[in-house]
Amino acid sequence: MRASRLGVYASLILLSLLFAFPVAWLIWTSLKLPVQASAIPPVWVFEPQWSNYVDAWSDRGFSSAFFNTVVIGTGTVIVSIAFGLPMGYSLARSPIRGKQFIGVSVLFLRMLPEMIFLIPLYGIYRSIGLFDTWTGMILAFQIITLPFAVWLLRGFVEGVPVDIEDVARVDGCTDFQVLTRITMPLILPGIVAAAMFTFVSVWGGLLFPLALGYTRAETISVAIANFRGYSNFQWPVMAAGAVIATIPQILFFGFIQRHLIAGLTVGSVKG
Amino acid sequence: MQPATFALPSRRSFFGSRAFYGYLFTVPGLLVAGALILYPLLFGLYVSLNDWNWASGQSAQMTFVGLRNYIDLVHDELFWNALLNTFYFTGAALVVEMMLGTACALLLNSVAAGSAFFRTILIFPLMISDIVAAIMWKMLLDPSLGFVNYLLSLVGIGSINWLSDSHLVIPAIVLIDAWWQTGVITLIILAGLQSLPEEPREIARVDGANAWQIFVHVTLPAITPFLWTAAIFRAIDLLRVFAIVWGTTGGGPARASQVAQHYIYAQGIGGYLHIGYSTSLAVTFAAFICITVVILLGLSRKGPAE
Repeated sequence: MRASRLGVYASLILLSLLFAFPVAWLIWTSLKLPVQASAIPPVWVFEPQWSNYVDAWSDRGFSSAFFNTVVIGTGTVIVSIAFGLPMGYSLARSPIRGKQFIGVSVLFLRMLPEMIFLIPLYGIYRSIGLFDTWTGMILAFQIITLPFAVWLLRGFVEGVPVDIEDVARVDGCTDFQVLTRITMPLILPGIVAAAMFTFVSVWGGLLFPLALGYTRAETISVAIANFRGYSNFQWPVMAAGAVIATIPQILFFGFIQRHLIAGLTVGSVKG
Repeated sequence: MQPATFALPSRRSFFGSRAFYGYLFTVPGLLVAGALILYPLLFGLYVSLNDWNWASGQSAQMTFVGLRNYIDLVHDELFWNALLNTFYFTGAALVVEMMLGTACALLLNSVAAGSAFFRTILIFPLMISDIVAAIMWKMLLDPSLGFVNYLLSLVGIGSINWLSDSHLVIPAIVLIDAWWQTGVITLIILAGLQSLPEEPREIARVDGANAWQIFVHVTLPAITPFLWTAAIFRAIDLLRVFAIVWGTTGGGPARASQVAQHYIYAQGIGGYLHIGYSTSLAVTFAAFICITVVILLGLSRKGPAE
């Protein structure tokens, strides 16, 4: 019994090393001199070069891509929550049995390859001037984030007992007031979680900005992708850029850890 | 307790009625979804029946060609190569990630102390975006300067061209993806394990079953629905793979790792600007994904009935 316990911990430690090491290596690389970064055998002791982070930040288009992503992410969150919350609410509370259908369509949308939207949208955007704009990017991201937000928020609304809302209705609240004054405060953690999921999917999304943006609406993922062709002499700057791009994601994920499974299985119809 | 609707004013005008709010809450969202999701989708189906070639300068010129794009793609060997690569990658990654994820979940479920700590580390790569994972592994797998080959050289294994050997490239990307996304499976299976009652396993233990027998005969059947959920969601995302491959190999060497979304991208907006043709490829690929998911769903329904 004791031996098997030991084996379990040994395996967990080994797996943790495997999963954590590449990230640790990325952080080390981001602090090395170019010669140290690609040295074989690796250099383990070195003086941290914080200037790599300054270099990454001032690399061609990096900081403006960071700023673009913050703006596009925030805009996408606002649109998705503003339209998704009332829809999620109706879906949770309406007597009609459309829930199965909505669940299946959310899953169906997830099954479609991004390209099926992006190529026609490219044509449309080029024609109406939305190509490479913040607005165009915010609208395009709704394809992923709006159904996602509706589905997630529906789940949170269902967690609020309907009796509480009925009491407010008896007191003369309209449905709109019920939503804004009773339900919204109660599901605020859920709204925050949906907002963060939305923001993270914009932050990490590559295909949408790659297809529909160029420079003015270039996001952080595209800026990272532009590092692809860099030689090993630029590894430290690449690594520093990657770390900068990842920090906001880790902060957001910290908040939504509890809801991670709900987010990963959006569209699954239970019961 | 009175029914909810009892107290509502019944003879009010439409404005302010519950039906009004029902529309107010759903119609704007449906309009947005219709304009941004349904319209591009239907427009795309139409575009796929047209010759629409931005590269030749006649950007606004769409010529209806019926099913010609679809007939052309049947003979497009590069498209079938990309599809084959995609399914090879998906199948291999699914097997590796399911086994690794289930193992991680079982290990996490069997410890009391430190479970939350190890859980955070094992799912940590999920917080990294695909393109960051791609450029990071591109550095780690560098044949002469990468850390992975350095480690292997310590045990006497010579330099391996992970990403430029046509036989090794997809297995290498499978390992990258396993590092990146196994956490999804770990989390879903762990939730399944934690929802199981302890008694059946306790009874089996008292009856003298060993750990392996308990796993195969008691735990595994009980978590089967969770295994299917994890596998289906993972399969959907694996089939749509793009950044992990494009960021590490760009589809090379010689298209040995080119996946469907990458080929469609290259034919369309990422290169040749054959908008009509590449849309027909996207529609065909979507059909392949749907068929795969329907088959997996069918298998998952059949399982528990035995």
